[in-house]
Amino acid sequence: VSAPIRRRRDGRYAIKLDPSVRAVLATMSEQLAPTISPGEPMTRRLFPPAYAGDDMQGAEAEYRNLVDNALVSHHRQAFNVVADTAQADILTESELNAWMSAVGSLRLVLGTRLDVSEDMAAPDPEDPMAPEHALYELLGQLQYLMIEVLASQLPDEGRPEGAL
Amino acid sequence: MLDVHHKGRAVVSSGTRERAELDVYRLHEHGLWATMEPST
Repeated sequence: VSAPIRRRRDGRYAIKLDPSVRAVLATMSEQLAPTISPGEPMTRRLFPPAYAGDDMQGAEAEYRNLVDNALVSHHRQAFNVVADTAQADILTESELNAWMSAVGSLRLVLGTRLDVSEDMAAPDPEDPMAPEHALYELLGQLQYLMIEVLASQLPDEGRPEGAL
Repeated sequence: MLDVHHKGRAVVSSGTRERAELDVYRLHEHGLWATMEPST
């Protein structure tokens, strides 16, 4: 069995994913793209604070003014690329980077909804939320595959020490 | 770099406020929980 995401000799990427996975990515991206906003609880996690301290509220407000529109465009664009290319067998590097960003965002949004924490055990299969937890796991695996294949193109010093 | 794995946080960049905001923004594009603070 060949890798689900593989770099081709021409510098593009071959994608082998189950049709059901592609459908989920397309649907979630289409649904989320128009709703992205720092004021929307569901997508709030895509706008992390830049200044954490209580005495930094002024700087935080300035940062938000500067970047929030750009963050909305960045995320929306990535979701649009995934919605448009969800069925593609071959992606350009730029498209794969958009996939990586969008899949990461989908995972964060879903994680927020499920209120996941780091050492959470997998839910009981009978749990009504079990399918969504499985989807969360799947998005994490996809993200890992994409990071691994894209990181293999980085010069050695760009790779984190002790990376898997 | 592994500090973030073992300790939950790591310093990955330092410099002027403008430089730090740009680096933080690039991490925010990927949804990473990056914050900055003035160095003392």
